[in-house]
Amino acid sequence: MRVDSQLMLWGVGVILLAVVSMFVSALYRRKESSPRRAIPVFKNLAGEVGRAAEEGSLVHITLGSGSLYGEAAMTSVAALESLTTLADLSAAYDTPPIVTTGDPTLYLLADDWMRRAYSRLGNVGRYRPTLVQFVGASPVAYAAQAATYLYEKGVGSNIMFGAFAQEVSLLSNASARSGVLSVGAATSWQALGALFPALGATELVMGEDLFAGGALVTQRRAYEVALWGEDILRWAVIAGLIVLAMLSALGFGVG
Amino acid sequence: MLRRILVTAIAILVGVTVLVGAVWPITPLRELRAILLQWAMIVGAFAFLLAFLNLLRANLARLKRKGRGRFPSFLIVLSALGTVILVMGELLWQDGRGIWSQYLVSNFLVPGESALLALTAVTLLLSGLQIFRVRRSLGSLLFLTVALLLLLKTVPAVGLLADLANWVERVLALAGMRGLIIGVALGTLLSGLRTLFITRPYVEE
Repeated sequence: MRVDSQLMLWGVGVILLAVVSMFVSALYRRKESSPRRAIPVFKNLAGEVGRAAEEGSLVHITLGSGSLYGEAAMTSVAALESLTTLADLSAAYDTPPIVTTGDPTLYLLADDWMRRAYSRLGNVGRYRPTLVQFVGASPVAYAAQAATYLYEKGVGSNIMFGAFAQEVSLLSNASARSGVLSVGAATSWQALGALFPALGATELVMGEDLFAGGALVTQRRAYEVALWGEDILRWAVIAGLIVLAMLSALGFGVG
Repeated sequence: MLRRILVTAIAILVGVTVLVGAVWPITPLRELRAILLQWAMIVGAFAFLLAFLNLLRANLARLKRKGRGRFPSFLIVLSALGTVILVMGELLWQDGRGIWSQYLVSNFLVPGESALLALTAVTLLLSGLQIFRVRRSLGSLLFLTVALLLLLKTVPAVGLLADLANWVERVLALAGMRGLIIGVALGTLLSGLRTLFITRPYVEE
């Protein structure tokens, strides 16, 4: 019971700290100052659409199997948010990507996301429902089926953003074999272990950096405030860990 | 306008209830949270139905096109429709006991998935072998060294190397993994709060 109440207090404390850090960011960060993180993958995403439009090739987006009512929900949402500009440009140039998902709820969200991109341009009539596809109910079956799209004629680049595990290696391997340019962003260590040897330093987003995507591509204040808040919280956690380690080393019986 | 306000109010109320129910599990909140999550599951089940129809539609469209994806799409359409007929048959003639579908799962789905998982071991190895072609850096060297060290650990009679591998696994790898998980947890928390209260993607633009 004591552990439960301790956990509860930690939970409440962290949530309150998160809210306070977002408020502090909103109050003290100037509008024109941009987040410090420079992640080349997000910067280059818009160029992918231009390249696809020039070459007449297709962009394949794989969003993984993160369900919206599971623990990977925010990873999937963050992956979609980081693709906002790409979706807008695709709708503007009418060079739509093929989006594949491995979860029904994520399929509905991605479909809505793409439809909204067309709607923002007043071009919703050109949206085709088969642009976003649900291709498999289990992560491995999803990756295997999505990989078959990479061997199809016309696919020029493969964007692997979302909740994956080691099955992502089926996708990265298929990209390499079919000569398709790939970029990836994942949060699990299994997926990062698979993607690290397959993608270059400028082609991979690791861990929490995925959550910076929305702020970097949209440059909207709401996203930036949350990212700054995350930075504050991260430094608070680092400081807390160092203090706890020092107290523990000095024999104060913590941890 | 009223619709937007109503949707926002409902979403925030539900979100806050689920969040508070998670960190403060007192009786009415815990039960309310369970009910809300159950409703989410029901919506998820309907999402499955829509996704299934999308799967059929997309693969039928792929069948009409010429390309290498036709054969997998043909198999998918065939197995999807076959499974639906089978499950309907079970519901009609076997009172939904699911003997045929269980047979399908244990004899086709499970072995197939296991085979695919085994295949990921091969694809991981292939990626590992190509690491220096993709990125020539100290990080790659470190990655490969640690991977080899951990593989060597499984070989009997490597003595000191096994101790080193154990230390790497227990201290360095675990610390790195915890760092990654803490970072992702913070990102998830902040993004969740932002999505719920500020950006609100659930509201129609």
